[in-house]
Amino acid sequence: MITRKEIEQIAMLARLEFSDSEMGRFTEQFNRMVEFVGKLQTVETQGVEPTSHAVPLKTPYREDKTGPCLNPQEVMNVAPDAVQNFFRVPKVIE
Amino acid sequence: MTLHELSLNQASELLQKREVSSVELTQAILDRIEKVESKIHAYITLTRESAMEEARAADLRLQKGDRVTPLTGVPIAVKDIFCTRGVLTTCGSKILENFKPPYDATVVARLKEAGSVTLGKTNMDEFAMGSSNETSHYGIVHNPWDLEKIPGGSSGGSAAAVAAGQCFGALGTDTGGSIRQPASLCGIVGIKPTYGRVSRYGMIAFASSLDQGGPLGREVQDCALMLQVMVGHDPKDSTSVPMPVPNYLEHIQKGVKSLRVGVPQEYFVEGINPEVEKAVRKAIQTLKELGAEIIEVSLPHTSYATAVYYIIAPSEASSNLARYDGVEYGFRSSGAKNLLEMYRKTRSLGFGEEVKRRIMIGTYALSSGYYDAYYRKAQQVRTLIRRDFDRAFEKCDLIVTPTSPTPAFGIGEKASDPIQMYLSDIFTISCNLAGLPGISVPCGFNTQGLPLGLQLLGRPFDEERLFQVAHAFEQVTDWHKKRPEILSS
Repeated sequence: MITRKEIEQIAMLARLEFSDSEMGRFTEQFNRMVEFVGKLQTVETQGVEPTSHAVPLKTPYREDKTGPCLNPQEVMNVAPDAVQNFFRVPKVIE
Repeated sequence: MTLHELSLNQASELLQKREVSSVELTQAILDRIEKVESKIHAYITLTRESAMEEARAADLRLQKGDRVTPLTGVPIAVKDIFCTRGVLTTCGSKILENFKPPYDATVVARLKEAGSVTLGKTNMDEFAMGSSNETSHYGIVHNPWDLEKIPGGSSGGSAAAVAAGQCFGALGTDTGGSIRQPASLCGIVGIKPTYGRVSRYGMIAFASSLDQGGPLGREVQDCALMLQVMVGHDPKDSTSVPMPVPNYLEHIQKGVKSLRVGVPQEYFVEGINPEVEKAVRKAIQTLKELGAEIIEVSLPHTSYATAVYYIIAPSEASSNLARYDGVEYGFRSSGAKNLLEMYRKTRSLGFGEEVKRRIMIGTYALSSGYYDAYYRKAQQVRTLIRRDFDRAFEKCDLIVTPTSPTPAFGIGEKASDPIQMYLSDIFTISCNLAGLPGISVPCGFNTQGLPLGLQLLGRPFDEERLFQVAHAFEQVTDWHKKRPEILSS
């Protein structure tokens, strides 16, 4: 059983927050999901290699050459708050 | 037959023969949208003006015989998960409510290059997380066969738009069934290609090892025509596979004679709707009559697929969605005193419930102390699921199953129970975990007139065979020719 306190800790890691009223229902749903995926613990997997991608992949290399890229102005235009070519955010350190 | 009732293939032929212009075709579809969209709500954004411009440009190309392809002048719809330069791309989320990407996704660019006309961006479950389209921030999509029913998800807007005659074909994405399940529930065709076949560049990431783009259309050939343009190696996607692509139409008439078709016993289990089972059994009989050899196969780890998926997909999602922090693009919550508060408020207000649930589960599964028990364990069982398919494909050339355990369910029916909702994908998830291609084709209707779908799963990169078998099935059935009543209203 995962406690409300642990959920709060996970929410912090995920940079999310929940109101008191959301928290009760969320904790209950979360526990049901953990129980649901818990059935995997019954599968014997000793010595089985994990699969991260279904298709075998190698890191593709390319030549170290400059090519066309996005226009920085167009990129900054979609930012919520930008000054010249910088993203502006609230204070990081108080 | 009115223009909006044509299949993509028929529309394309009329354009090539110059019996209809792209402007006429596009106008007819826009009129159709005007008429039925208020009932269906398939689109988040309509791009009427640019569609007409593209139609005029396509007509010029057709007139001059300049770079004409089967898609030149054909109006299509694009799931709102694909980045479209300068056109709102929300991914069904509030957190991207104002995002106009500065670039096109590779598949969008390829379709434009082929001369297709983009009508707009289709509604979807938020970040493609859902099986009913009910998690969209932009409202529910209604199934054209019964407006009280869900269209399936997450490409529910794309499927409903195709079924309701609001486009000739649409782009979707499929992480655990999100093309095939809505195709099945809306009575159309949808294919998820092999992982690596279609570029993911500019396709907003949900679970990167599972996501794959693909087309939805009324007929098998429609999907083949669209997929032909979408596939091929893309250096901008490091998981895109540099493999030759066959011409899907060249041998589409080949039929199923002497093909070995595997039927996995694990897909006909308790809980499957009897009408679904009956329709699928009948479809298997049809394939047999067409000359296929029917073989029983076993995929013993099938019952673990959903649990594997609900660890792997949320884990990858929790990492992929970390980028939505209110800094570079999208929604930002105002009034935060410091950066941490800004992140937390932005994400808590910007994401809907289902997305938050999955980010939380993924964060938990990847967190220190739980990684081996959940994420690694799920990856190991994923290997076992893949091996099941390898073994089955030693005995057969393709596998047939139902696409969805039930027909379309009622709006709101499963919305409050996440686990029940997750179980609507039990037949489609394994295909993504194993990276295989899968197609859903209409195979009947239940007594209430709701469409049912047959799923065909193939060996990696064997999309061509799926098209051949699905096409052969289509030639001797007429389920795909039925149109919802809303179409004749």
